[in-house]
Amino acid sequence: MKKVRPEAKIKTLADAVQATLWELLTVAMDGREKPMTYVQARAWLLADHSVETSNAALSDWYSWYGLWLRSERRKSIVLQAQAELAQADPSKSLEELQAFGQVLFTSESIEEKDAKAFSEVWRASEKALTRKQAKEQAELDREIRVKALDLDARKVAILEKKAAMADAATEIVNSDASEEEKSSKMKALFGIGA
Amino acid sequence: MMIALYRRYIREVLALAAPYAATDQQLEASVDALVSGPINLSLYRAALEWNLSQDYVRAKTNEDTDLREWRLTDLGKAKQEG
Repeated sequence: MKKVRPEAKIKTLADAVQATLWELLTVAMDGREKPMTYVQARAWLLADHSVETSNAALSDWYSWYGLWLRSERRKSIVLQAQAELAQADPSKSLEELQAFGQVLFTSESIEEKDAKAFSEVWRASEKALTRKQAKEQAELDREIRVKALDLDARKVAILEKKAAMADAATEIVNSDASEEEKSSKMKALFGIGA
Repeated sequence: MMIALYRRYIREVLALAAPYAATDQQLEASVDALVSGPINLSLYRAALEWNLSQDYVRAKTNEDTDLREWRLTDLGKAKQEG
């Protein structure tokens, strides 16, 4: 049989009991000036819930419960923010909402802001990104246009050079020079055997 | 004994974060909150490596934040619930 960890015994108590235990250990209640000590909380657990535990197990549970509370608070804010975002922009896909939720969950400042603020910040950053992408695209288009113009200019220059060579060749062919001279001039014109 | 605790704490933190993933910083800080006394980083890293070698946890870099994020695998969830 699997051994139950000491703090696991407390984790299996009803949610309301765990919440009360957390409060007893965290805030002064029931007319007390200070929160309960572990020893007092153990006595309370034994008397009211028949649970016997140790200070170490109680300490482990207390650390775990604090983390659980923080995590639940974060998840709650994320859910609210996702709902806000989905409402503000119904075109958002489930994947986009999940990606937003993950970024928000890991955000350092999540517990200092409300869900609506996050939703607005996210949308603003998306707009900024869209503007940046549009600017980058315009820059790319401009570069492509400049390159295309440059290519056209080079094509024209090559065509002009070819036309000039054709004219020169015609002139050589129609000249009164000997065949040997014509051949020599043609070779010189086209850079053959130089 | 201590490393076994660290291994378990890592899985517990990721189980608490689910369905979301936890960043390196979040994971380490949360494990630090669970251990009594200051965190032993050598043990912590060895425990993380062990969980990775057992395929209980996986890491992936989030393209939106460039941060590495950790989550439990199905095997890790089963181990945690078992």
